Amino acid sequence: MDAILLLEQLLNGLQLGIMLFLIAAGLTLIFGVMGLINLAHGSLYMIGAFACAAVATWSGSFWLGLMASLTFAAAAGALIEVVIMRQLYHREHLDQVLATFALILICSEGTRWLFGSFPLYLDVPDIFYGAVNLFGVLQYSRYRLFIIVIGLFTALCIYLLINKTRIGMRIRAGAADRQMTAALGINISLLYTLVFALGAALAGFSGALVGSIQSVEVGMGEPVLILAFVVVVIGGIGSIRGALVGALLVGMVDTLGRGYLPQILQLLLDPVFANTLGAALSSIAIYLLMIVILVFKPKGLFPAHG
Amino acid sequence: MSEKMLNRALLSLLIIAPWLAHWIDEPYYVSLATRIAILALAGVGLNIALGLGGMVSFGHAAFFGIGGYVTGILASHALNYEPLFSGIFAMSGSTQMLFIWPIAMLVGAIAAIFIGLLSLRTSGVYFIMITLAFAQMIYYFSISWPNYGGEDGLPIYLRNSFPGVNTLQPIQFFMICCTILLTTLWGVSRLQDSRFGNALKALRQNETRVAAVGISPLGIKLAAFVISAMITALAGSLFADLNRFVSPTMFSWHTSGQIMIFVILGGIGRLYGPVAGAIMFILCEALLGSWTEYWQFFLGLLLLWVVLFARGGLIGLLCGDKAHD
Amino acid sequence: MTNRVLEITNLNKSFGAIHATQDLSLTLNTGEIHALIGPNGAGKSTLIQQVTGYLQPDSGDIQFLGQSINHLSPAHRAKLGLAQTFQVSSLIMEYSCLQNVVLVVQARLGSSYRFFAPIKGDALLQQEAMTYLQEVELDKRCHIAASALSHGERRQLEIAMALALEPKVFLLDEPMAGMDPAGVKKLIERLKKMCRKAPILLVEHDMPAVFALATRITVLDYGRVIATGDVESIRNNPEVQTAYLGVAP
Repeated sequence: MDAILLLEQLLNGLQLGIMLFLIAAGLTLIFGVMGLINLAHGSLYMIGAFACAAVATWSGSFWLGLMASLTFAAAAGALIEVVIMRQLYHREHLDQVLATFALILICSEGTRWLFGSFPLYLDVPDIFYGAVNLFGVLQYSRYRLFIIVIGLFTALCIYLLINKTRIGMRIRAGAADRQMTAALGINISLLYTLVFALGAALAGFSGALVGSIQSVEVGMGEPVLILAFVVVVIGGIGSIRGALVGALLVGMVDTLGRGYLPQILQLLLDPVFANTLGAALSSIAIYLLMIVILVFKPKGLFPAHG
Repeated sequence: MSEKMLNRALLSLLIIAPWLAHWIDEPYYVSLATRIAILALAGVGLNIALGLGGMVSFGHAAFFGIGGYVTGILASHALNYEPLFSGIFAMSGSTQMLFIWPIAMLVGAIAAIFIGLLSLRTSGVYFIMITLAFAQMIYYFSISWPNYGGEDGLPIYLRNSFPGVNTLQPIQFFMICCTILLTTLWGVSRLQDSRFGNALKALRQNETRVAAVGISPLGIKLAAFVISAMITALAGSLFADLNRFVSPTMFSWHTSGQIMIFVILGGIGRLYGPVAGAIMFILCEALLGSWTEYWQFFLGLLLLWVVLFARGGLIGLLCGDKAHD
Repeated sequence: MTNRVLEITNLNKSFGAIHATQDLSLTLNTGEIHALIGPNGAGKSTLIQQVTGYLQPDSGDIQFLGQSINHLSPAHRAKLGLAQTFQVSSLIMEYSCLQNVVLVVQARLGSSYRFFAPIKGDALLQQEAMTYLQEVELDKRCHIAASALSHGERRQLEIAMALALEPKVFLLDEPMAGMDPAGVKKLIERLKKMCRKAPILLVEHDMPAVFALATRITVLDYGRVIATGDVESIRNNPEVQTAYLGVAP
């Protein structure tokens, strides 16, 4: 067992987990507070990445691009909420699934129309080029470290917002009991728009950060969307804490699974077969995880509702 | 317009158009009609679980793909003269449709029993997620497993055979698919009006009441889920033969979403809903697609409009609310 | 041979700190109408849900016709002959009155796993269903959808569906709720006829109706039985009067 490799994998798992948390946090709040299944969340992730890439290229500044990703995604989110989501809150899940699926098509093809099918150029800013020496043993990408740090910082901000502010209290109330919160006279419409825009901003921000190390292209949001839903279901709908735990769990299982499952299997089986089986199993590991958790805890780990 | 009239009109359109195309020697349109018939069949399958039973399965692509891969695997083993499995379980592949279809439906049923037993105890978003998760698992598995093409897919070099028919001729293959669709529609119409259909439709509306009269909800739901899976698997098998190709995209959640689109565009829970929906979808793809490569943008708008303002789909729009029988 | 159709022994159910059912014992014998009364929150609904199978008791035993039913599903209990009506009408809203009752007859008369024969053509089912509708005087409205019925008619339909089960016991949860006086009178007569078919466990708030109908009354308060007896003894019981009947202590 190579300890340095393990450390690197753990850090990668942490990075994936933190990014998933940013997306899942918004998703779980939207589902918890508004009861809305939002398949278009992955599109907001994509919109953030595209905004960042476009603005960074035009202005030459990555930081301006990051700001743009937050604002554009939030604005897109607010627009979508007011125009479309408001009609869906009282509808059944099927309608929400179909309508937001339609939104995916509209956003994806719309983006392709505007920007074409080729990935946009978005590169890591110069100060994050290269590696940093961790603990004297591991060379780890500066940028990935930056992502982890900024992700944790954002997670802290969300935690403070949700748990220590008046707005956060209203959001938590809405997640626990929607009808009661509305009955208490809180401006539900505004709250909903705020929650949706916040979730969108987080998703867009995450998209921009990840877009620099992967690629900014149409369809980048879809694999991420499914992962985010798995995180939300595992963590418990409406719970930020659940989203964090779920995201870290999923990030770790996915990364470590891909890294080590083939090797573990090779101890037991024929190496070629083990490799194939390992690759196959690691891609489905998180789904197996979700199903196992749901068997024991049907509402996820930390459900916000009773 | 009455629903019966509209059904007959849709059916006539579906049958007459390809024969016209065949007469004027335009096989492309015959293939298009075949595609419509097959996708409609997949939708008819989903409609049993979704429209009649109210089970929002976001993983029906799993069964569609299973039907396709069973066909592809059996055909490839036969054409390569390799036996499937080994030892006492050895069996040769097959290129006979009449043999392949029951196997495809059987494997689909087994998968549905397994998935159903695990998922049907949940409801709401959890059911949606679990069915999606199973389909995703099969999807990623099919990509990583190299024996049958992995990500590149598996070609079927020669379309499978049906006694007395030249399956390579587009119009003849169309007639096979169309006949299967019609037979299935007939079967489903009987199912809807039977005791089972009665219980299933009641279950969609009020599960507590159904249990209170002594009918176990889980059994009915599972049976509906399995029947639904078998029909969709059959459609997958035909799809594989149509394209002479199977690939993991048959398992993708996009495919699941598309099958749902056919059902909702035509009218959820309506017998001919998937037929109308498949016609609309393919026409969008063919007509809109010839004007712009971004036709899915407009499909998205159409779907959004239908969900928000015309929830009954095309049939709901033209025929009004379902008749209370 | 026991007269006891339903025998509940030492039932306990808690929700966290709330002891909703405490050491509750109750029996229901053939031929009787046993009324269950008590203030709101006394645990009447919780008890009914444990008998019908929607809640699992923490401890205690529920015997139906001499058989312990603690671990049976609600559908299984219904199949054994346990019919219930709901506090809030639970009907198949898009179905007509006739279709609602046909569903019950279909469940009773055998398998729901028939996939081909059209149910409309099954004269036996349809006619049987009609007889139950006639009993509750809904036969003229048999083709009206449940969603279009008045509140009182929906309560009648629930009764018809309970009758259609040909059950061994009726569990009625506030059947008179929201009914006009004429409807209540009719229902009282109907219940008196029904108890000849099978005993009734009746949860009700309408005290005059309870006193007119009940053979025995059990009073619940805070999840416990505070009194059981015939109408006279309960009416004159000082504890009951204080807790529930609104008489100053």
